[in-house]
Amino acid sequence: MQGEDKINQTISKVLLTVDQFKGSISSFRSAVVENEYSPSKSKHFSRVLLWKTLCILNTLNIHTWSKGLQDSRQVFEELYKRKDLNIPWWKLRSDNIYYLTKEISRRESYRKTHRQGVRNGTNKVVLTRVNISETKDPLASSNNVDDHEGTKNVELLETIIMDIERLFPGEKFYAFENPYSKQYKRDLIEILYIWSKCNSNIGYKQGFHEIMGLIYMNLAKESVEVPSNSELNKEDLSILNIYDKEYLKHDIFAIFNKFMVQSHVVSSFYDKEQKLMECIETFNVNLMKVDQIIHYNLISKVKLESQLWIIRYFRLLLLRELGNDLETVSLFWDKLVAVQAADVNTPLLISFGIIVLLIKMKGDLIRCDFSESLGMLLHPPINTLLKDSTPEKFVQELFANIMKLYSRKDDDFKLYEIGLKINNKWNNNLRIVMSPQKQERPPSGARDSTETLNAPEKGLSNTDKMAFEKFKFEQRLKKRVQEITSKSK
Amino acid sequence: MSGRAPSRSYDMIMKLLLVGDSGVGKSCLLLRFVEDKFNPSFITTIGIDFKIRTIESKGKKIKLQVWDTAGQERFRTITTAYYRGAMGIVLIYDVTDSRTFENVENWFHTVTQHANEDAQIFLVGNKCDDEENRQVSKEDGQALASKLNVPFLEASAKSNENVDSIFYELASIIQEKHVNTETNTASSGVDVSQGGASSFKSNCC
Repeated sequence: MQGEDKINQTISKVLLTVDQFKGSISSFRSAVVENEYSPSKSKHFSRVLLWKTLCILNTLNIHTWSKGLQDSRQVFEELYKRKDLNIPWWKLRSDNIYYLTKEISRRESYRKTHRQGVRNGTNKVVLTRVNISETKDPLASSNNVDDHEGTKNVELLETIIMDIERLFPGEKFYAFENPYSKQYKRDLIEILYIWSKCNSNIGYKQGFHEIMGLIYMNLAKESVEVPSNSELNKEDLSILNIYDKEYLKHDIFAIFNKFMVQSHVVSSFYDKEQKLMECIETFNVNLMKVDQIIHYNLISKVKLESQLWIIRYFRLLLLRELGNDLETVSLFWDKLVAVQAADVNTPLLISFGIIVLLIKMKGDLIRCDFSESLGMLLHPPINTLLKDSTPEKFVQELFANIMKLYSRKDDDFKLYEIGLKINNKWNNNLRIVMSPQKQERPPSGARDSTETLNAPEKGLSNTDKMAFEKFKFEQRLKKRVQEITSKSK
Repeated sequence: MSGRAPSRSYDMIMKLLLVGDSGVGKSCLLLRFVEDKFNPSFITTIGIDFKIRTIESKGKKIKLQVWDTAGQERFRTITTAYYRGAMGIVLIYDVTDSRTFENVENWFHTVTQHANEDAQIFLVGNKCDDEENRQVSKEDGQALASKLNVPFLEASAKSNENVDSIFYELASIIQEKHVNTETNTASSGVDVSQGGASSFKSNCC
């Protein structure tokens, strides 16, 4: 599979990239965001380089990479060695395809840690970056894992296995036919298991597997086996170090922590209900600011609460919504990683991303009734949206619009204006007629009881509500314009 | 768009909800029922999925709005929103995994907590084609159903056994309930999630 060609290609890609950006990580980051460093624009595009430099290393200075990687890898390494974090493969049912005997399970982890210990040549313990629960650390008590704990561990393992077994059906990389797929999946299970045990206050959540599964796949495809007896110089080895298959798990663990935990994705969308509901409310408010028609239509007219459909958008960072072709979402995440490195509020950015996607499908969406809207939101017609574009162009446009909105996130008037601009571009042919006469009144006996929560103006008809919302918004705009004009005087 | 949109002509609309442990085959049953397809490794449901099929029962066209939930979702506000307006709830376990059967009573409790009082619950043991790995007997399933006082079927999304029957029987029970309470105008079992539109309508649009 792997020859010297791949090694040389990898090295030259990295050198050319570093050279192109004159070693500046911030120029590199901007180029990713601006779509100048992308698979089609750049002959020497490398996703491993992009993700590992932006997520882990934060520098294009090749000479510092080995040290940076070593520090980062040490974290997982130490966890991986811990007896109490041994993955209880042997406690699975013996007909489980991941079952290993106790001896093999032990030997496996010994073999790996031993070999890695030698190559790493260090025993320094760096555990500070891992977010271990303070309140309930299952690892603190003793080495004697009691029965209850043991049962819980096996249950955790089985839960993760169940999701990993149905990861990306149809994707060749993980398909049964691929002889390596089982090892890939076992790797993912190990990382997820260890992560969940270390973050027992959160635990394993469905969705983690898919996010990690895509990152793993993208990075594994470019990873190499670093030749041990070759004539590579120190710089070459330093470059190859970031592509080292041996440490893929370590790096995925670090990337997951950065991409999902430090970005507050986990705490906003997965962990606490209250936080999630706040994010949904923020989305609703921003949707109102950016596109009043969609907001009115979904929330007031067809009465589709955002919480019914938005959770998957949030939790999987648009993975499912951007289509079956995983390249589209990968392109989107490349940019996401790049802006994360510049400290954006990822949950808010995703929220704007959803708004931009809704504007893209607005023409169809606003013609739908309740069921059709829900159906369309859960199965966005991505192929139609991509019809006149390529995935890369589509993502570039999507992301540019997201960043426009995000950069004006606190300016209602600007959000409104940008919303208009996006609509002018995408929905130019859309003519929306508001006729105050036409209204559907529910026949007697079918009185709506679903919207008592968010509708203080419950007695109002749809038209009244619409007029009220329009009025509110106009007033806000007027005030805003007055502010602007008075300032400029 | 009109190509995607299901027919708007129906006499009654019913919201049904599929619940049960992760991996029991909720999504597979739904896929079999609506698209007559089967995929052994169906993608994990995050949040909900949603499909529609219109069936005919007792001479009436019934639009079934079937909501498929994630087995792992534990957030209360969100779960409550899923249950709101549901007229039928299909509680599913896996006959090849006794733990999912042991959880049925927990699910039953959750359902009765969240769902409308007159929502009809229906117990289903899925994967009944897999006799080799069966852990829960049909008799045990039936006994539990009797205890909970709900109808019961064993089914298989894989072999397509009883899949249609679940939905037809459930729809028919709900329909019957409805006839009985229809005189009682303010019936709360009516699905009103269609803003502005009634649950009962003929050839609207």
